[in-house]
This record gives sequence, C-alpha cells and structure tokens, in this order.
Amino acid sequence: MSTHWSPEQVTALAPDPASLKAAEGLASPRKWVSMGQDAQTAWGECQGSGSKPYQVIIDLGEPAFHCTCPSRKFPCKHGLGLFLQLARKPDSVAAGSAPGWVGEWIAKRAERAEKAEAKAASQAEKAVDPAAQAKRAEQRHKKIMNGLAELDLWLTDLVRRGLLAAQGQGYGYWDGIAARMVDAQAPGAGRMLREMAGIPASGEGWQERLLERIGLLYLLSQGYQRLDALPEATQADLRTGLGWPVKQEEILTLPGLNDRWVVLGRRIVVDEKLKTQRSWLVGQASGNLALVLDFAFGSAPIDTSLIPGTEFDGELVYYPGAAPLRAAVKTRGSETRTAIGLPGFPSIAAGIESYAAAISANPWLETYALPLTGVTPVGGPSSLHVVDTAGDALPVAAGFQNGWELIALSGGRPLALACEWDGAGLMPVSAWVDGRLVILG
Amino acid sequence: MTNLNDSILSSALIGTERRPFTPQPGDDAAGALIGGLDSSDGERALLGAAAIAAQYQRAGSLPGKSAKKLPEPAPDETLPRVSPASAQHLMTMHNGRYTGVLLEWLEAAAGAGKRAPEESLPALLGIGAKNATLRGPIASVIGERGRWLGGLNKAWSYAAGGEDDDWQTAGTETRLALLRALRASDPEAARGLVETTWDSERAEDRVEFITCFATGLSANDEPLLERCLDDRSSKVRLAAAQMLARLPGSQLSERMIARAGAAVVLGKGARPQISVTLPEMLDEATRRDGIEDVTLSLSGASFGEKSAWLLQMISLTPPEYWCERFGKSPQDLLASAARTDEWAMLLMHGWHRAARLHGATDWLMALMSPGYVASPESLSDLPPAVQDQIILAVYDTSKFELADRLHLFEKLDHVWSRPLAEKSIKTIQELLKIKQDKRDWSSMRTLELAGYRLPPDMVEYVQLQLRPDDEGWERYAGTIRGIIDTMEFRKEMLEELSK
Repeated sequence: MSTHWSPEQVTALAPDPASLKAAEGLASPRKWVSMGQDAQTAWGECQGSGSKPYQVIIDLGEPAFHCTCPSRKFPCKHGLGLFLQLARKPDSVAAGSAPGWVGEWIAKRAERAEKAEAKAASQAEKAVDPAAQAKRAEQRHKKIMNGLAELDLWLTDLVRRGLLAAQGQGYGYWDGIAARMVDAQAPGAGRMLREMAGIPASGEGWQERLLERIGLLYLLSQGYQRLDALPEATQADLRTGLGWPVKQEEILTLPGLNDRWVVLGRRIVVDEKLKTQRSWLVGQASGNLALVLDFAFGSAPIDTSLIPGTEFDGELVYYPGAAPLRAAVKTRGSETRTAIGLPGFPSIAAGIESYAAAISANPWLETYALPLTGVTPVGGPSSLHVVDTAGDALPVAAGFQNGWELIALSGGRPLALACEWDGAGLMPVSAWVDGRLVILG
Repeated sequence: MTNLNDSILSSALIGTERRPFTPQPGDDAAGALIGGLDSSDGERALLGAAAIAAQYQRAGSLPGKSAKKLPEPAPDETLPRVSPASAQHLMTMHNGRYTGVLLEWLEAAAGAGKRAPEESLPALLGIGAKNATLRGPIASVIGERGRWLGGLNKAWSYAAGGEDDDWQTAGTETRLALLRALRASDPEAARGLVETTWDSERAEDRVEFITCFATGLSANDEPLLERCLDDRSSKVRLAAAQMLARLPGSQLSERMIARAGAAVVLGKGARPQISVTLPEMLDEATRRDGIEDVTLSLSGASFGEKSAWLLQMISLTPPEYWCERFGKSPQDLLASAARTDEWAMLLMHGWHRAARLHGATDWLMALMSPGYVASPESLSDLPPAVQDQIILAVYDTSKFELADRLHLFEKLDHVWSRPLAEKSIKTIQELLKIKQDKRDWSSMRTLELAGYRLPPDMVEYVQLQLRPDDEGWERYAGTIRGIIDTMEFRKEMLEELSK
C-alpha cells in the first residue's frame, strides 16, 4: 500500500530552515543522475561535489532515510530534496524495480528490525541479574536520600533568610546546590533549581512564582523520602520527577493501548546541545492524550516518524504514573493516513478540567497538551489569548513567535488549535482551519 | 485562600528569622491540611504550606473571561487560495531563496485571480511595509483577510483600503489608486473629483494628484494646471509646469518654446554650428512657468545660474520643436552640439531631460550612443516593450565595449522580450570566451540578473547555449548554474500559478 506524502508534510521533516533551503535547490530532476520509486520506497543518485554520486533511499512507510553523503543532519538535504520532488510531482520520479543497492539496504533494515525485536523479546524473557540490578537501585536510592536531606536543609535555610535575600544572590547560589543534586543522581531536582535561578529576575510576580516552585520542589523531596508509603503510580512520578531514567525497551514489554492515533503536533526545544522533541497524540476512540519524547544530541537525527496531521492504527504503551501521559509507540500499522480534523476538547473549561485532574495526580507534570476544537485568537501579539464560545480565555505564552499568523488564520473566527499548556501560557503547535493543517512555531 | 498565600509569602519574603511563620488552619481541605502541619519547625511548616498552596493554585485555577472583545470577523473571500505547491514557492522565497522572484510571483498570482494563503499574509504585509514599490502587487493578492489584517496593525494600514471609498475621508494611498483608475476611464470626472477638495489638500498630495494627470492628459486639464502655477508650494508649481510642458499646444509650452527658441540658433552649411545666448535674467513670468533660480550639477558638468536657467527651459520644451524648426534629426542636432565646446553639455543635458519628460524615443535612442549622456536608466519611464526595442537598436548600431553592452541589460527591470533575451545570451557567450585571470565583478551582476529577467520558458535554450565545455565555464560555473536554477524555479512557479 503506497503512502502519499504532501509537500507540507515533507517540509515539516526538515531539521532546520537552512536544510530546507538546501533541499529546495536539489528538488529538481536535473540534479539527479537517476531516480525511481516503487510501492514502498523511493531512491535516487545525486551528483554532489565528489566523484561518485550520493545514493539516497527513502522508505515511504515511516518515512526513513538513508544517504551516503557525509552530512550529519537528518534527514539530509539529498533525502529531503528527493522527497520534495516526489511529493510535488510524483510523475517526475519513474516507477520501476529497485536497483541492487536499494534492495540491500531494505534487506539490512528488515534484518535489524528483526534483531531488535528478538532482542527486546529475549530481554523480557531473560532474567537480567536481579541481584545486581537491585543493588544498583539501592545504591542510587541511598545517594538520592542523602542528596535530598541536604536539599531540605538548603531550602529551610532559604526560607529562613527570605526570598528577598535570595534575590540578591548570584547564579552560583542556585547552581551550587543544583550541581550537588546532579551528583546525588537526582538531576530532576537540579533542573528545577537551575530554572528557579532565573525567576527572581523575571519581573512582576516573581515572588509568587518562586514560592510556587519552592513548594513543588519541597513536595518532590518530601514525597520521595516517604516513597514506600505512597502508591506505585506516585512512586513512578516521584522517580521521574527526580530524573530516574526509564529504559524504553522495558516499557515496550508492557501491554499498551490500541487505538487510532492522531498526531496533533510537535515541538522541539533545544537545551545547550540536547534536542528534545515532544510529539503529541490523541487516541480517537479512547480520547487519551499521549506524549512521545525523542532526544538527539547535537546534530544527530531526531525521529521523524510522527508527522503532524497524520493518523495511524497502533499500540502505545504509557510510562507508569498517576496521570499517564508519556508513551512510546509499540506497534504501528503500515498505513499512515492524513487525519481529518483535529480531535480535542470542545471548550477551554473541559481542557482545564482535564489538566487539573492530571496535575492533581502528578504535581510535577511540566507540560500538558490542550487540543482545543474551537477557539478564536484575540488581542495583539503582545497580549494574545484565545477565547472559546463560552467566553473563557487562556493566554498565549509570551515566547510564541507566530501571533500574527495565528490571527491571520482565524480571521476573527474560531479554529481548531493544538497547544502545549504549562499552567501559565499556551504554546500553539498546529492549527486546523478550512480543512487543512498548518504547523505553527 | 489569598489570605493564606499572603501570610506564607510575607514570611517567605523577609525570612522566618525575622517574621516567624505559624500555619493557620482553614475551613476548606487545603486549610485542614495546613492546620495539620507541625508548627514547631517554622521553616518546614512554611515549606509545607507553600507546597499545599502551590498545588491548590495550580489545580484549582480556572480560566478567566476575555477582557477584550472579539474582532469583527473578516469578510468571506472572493478569490481562491493558491495551491499548496504555490504556497511552497512563496515560502521558499520568504526563507531567503530566489527573493528577487517575489514580484513576478505576486503579479502572476494576481493575474490568475488567486490569493496568498492566510498564514503567509503577515510576512507579505511586512515586506510591503518596508518596500513601498511592492505594496500595489501585494495588495492585489492578500484577499479580504489581508485587508482585514491591514485594519488591525498600523504598520500594514496601507493594505487596509477598500472599505472607505469616500473621497473625503479615505487615506492617500486609497485616493491615489482611485484617481489613477478613474483617470483611465473618465479623466473629466477624475479632475472634477480632485477639484472638490483641492484647496484643502496637503502640498505632497497635490503633487501626487498632478502626476496622475499624466493619464488622459488633455487641454481640459489646462485651466487647473495653470492655476497650480500660482500655488504656494514650489513642488506643486514645478509638477504643474512639467505636466503642462507635456501637453501639446498648452500655453506654457508655447511660452517655453518662445524662450528657448530665442536662445538657440543653428547656423547654415554642411556642418552647421549651434550658437547659444544665455538669458540675462529670470523674470516673474518665467519663474511662474517652473524655472527655478538654482545651480545644477549633473554627470560630467555643473551649470551656474544662467546656464541652469536655460537648461531648465530646454528641458521643458518639447524636443520635436527643434527637429521641426531646424529640419534636422536628433542625431544631426546632437552632432552639431558636440562640435561646440561651450554648449555641448548644456544642450545634451537639456535635450536629455526633455526627451525623458516627453517620452521622445527617437531622441533617447540618439542620446544613448557612446559619448552622449543617456543611459539605460533614461528609458525607465517608457513601456517595457519600447525600452527593449531601443536597447536592441542601440546595441546593434553603436560601438560599445563588451562591459558596456552587458550593462545595457542591467537597468531593464522587467522580463526581457525574446529578441533582447537572445541578444543577452549571445553577449554572455562572448563574456565566457574571454581569457582573463581575474573575475570581472561588474559583469557578474548582469549574469546574476539574467536569471530573473530571461523569459523562463527559455531555460532549455539557455542550457544549450551556455554549456560546460566552453572554456570560461569554470570561472562562471556557479553563476551559470544559478541562472538556470532561478529560471527553472520561475518556470515551475508560473506553471503552478496558471493551473
């Protein structure tokens, strides 16, 4: 079954605007020594500056890319360029049987996929030396407990001397304790402390904001120190909040939720050299939200298999927690379709209710998603918010760069908007209007 | 609950060592929890209370109501949106590639009766805010949504027109557009409209209105323009004088012919001499007719008072007067002028200005020969097809250097007609064959422009004519590929818009 990709979907795969620009330059048959496609794959040879042309292969199912060029970007400009041509003018790429080098790659991939499955299966069966595992876990736990004891002392010291005094301190004041938390194998606490360092200088209302974060950090610390007395789901949230890593392979051995999943949108944030991609999905039958995280270091490839505006049948496994949100894709049908419409909350009140339930269960939830089926943007770019038919309003985050585009798309009328929500401001990721999806941000 | 938060915050801000904290129990669930905190340890009690308060606030926050009113919804569109592929071409240009093609895209989209996608409007309107020459083409593709956006953002107000078609209250841009359109169909009505508010208009606007009279200019416009010669603004007086000078048979042009004609005399014989008598003074009537008491500095020459006056007089005199009076062609008259030492520059510049003002193509062609003062820029007021014809004629007859011949194409900022395009490619081939150690940077400009000016359907022809086996290829390879890429992009872009 061949999958048809639209030019917008292909453009969304570009890792950055420079890559897209370069890909545009390669999106014409003149640049290609040969090109071809069959039901599942597209391929081509592109003349670069070297003597041998680069060999490019695209598996159209996911999509997945392969190119022999030395670029470390993913997908590289050759893959994108070929894909753009295919999307814009399918007839310009001749249908035919794949040459040997394409077949080889496909075979190798299938082999690797099999091996990975087998490994996962065998890992599940194989009893990983439980004693060693338990010992490591015990050591980590001890380290964290010591670290948290220190953190508690630091926090009591902070409130004894007062937030105003803390405002006068430099970055080192926060950075020191943050580094200690990282050493104590509690990087989640470290991250929260580094974030708090910026609050005293953040302008009006900093006192309330800082106090709130202090409260949440203390809750995290106290909660973990009472771990055994708490339900398993909350234990999982506490471990996640402190930054205890969970192996995706282990998650994938658990049973998942089968549904028709719509990809609402995604957001990529960069923190120093680490890229984090948050892809938001909604199950059509269950109405469940799911967040799939993908990470990449530096210019390494980030996963491109979840394309906003598409839907697929598949099984997602949720990471344990009191308000399950993070998930991993366990299995996925071969067909990826264009989604019709954006499933979501019919009102802001319904969305906030859902958020409130989630955050009550998991206080350390950082980002939630509010897909809103009918809201109108109001106000200028510096005071933008969205209003639903009931008249309720939510502010759009100050960091959102495409306020005017949003206003232009709505034309004063409601549209469907998929947003991230952190309790303070909305970050729209995609809009659905007039039967088409527009990616924002 | 706010009371609780306040008490937590006040202790937290200055510190428990100065303001001890005691947890106050309350009626609700949060209050009960806080009441249960161990009050013996003030710091921990405060931290605990902060945690409870934080959760209470975050989970309990309800959305507020909107303070602002919803904007008036935009009217429904009348034009179809361009295809996603065309939108992609526009996005490519916004991202910085082939930016010079934007005008062509806008004109083709408008010609095809289509509008730009909504999400591209802010970027387009922003471009128009910075670049006034693109405003007209942009306004033609933004649709109702674009005009609606123009009403919301001051920076884009130039696009907001349409609603207010009332002459009395509309903005300058709208009124000018209205006036230009009306002059084309009913010049009398247009003049009538302008006269209703003439006296209360700003000088800058009066100048703009006068320039609109170029369309459908007739003797009926003369009375109003004559009155403008007495306007309090010198800019208005000058604009009116120039317009009257272009009106055949107008009293101003008669007066100017008399003045200039008296000053310039052509002798007899096979190589006649021109003699010039400078005007002694500048009387009221002459000033009124647009001659300013200034000195002029033009390329290659500067002109003191009296010379400047005569130069201005000549520039307002219709050039065909000289040919009729002396029975000579522009070439002959220019040759005569060139033979004098004193007057060559004055006459050439004067006739050049006159030729531009009056659109005299025969004079312009003569003035483009090497050594005379015209350049391709002089042709910019003429219709593109005429510009191309003149350049082709000049190219074939004059003996320009290669670099100068390449520069002939530079100022023609429209898509070149086929004959001119073929000529440009032949010239480029000449350039490629030259063995030079150093790159000729100024010739590169013409090469880069070619990608935007050659008719896009000539791309295969260009690929055949400018081939890699030519010896100059390596030096210019990148630029040639750039030309072909640009032409292919334009071809694809135009094809897509015409679907």
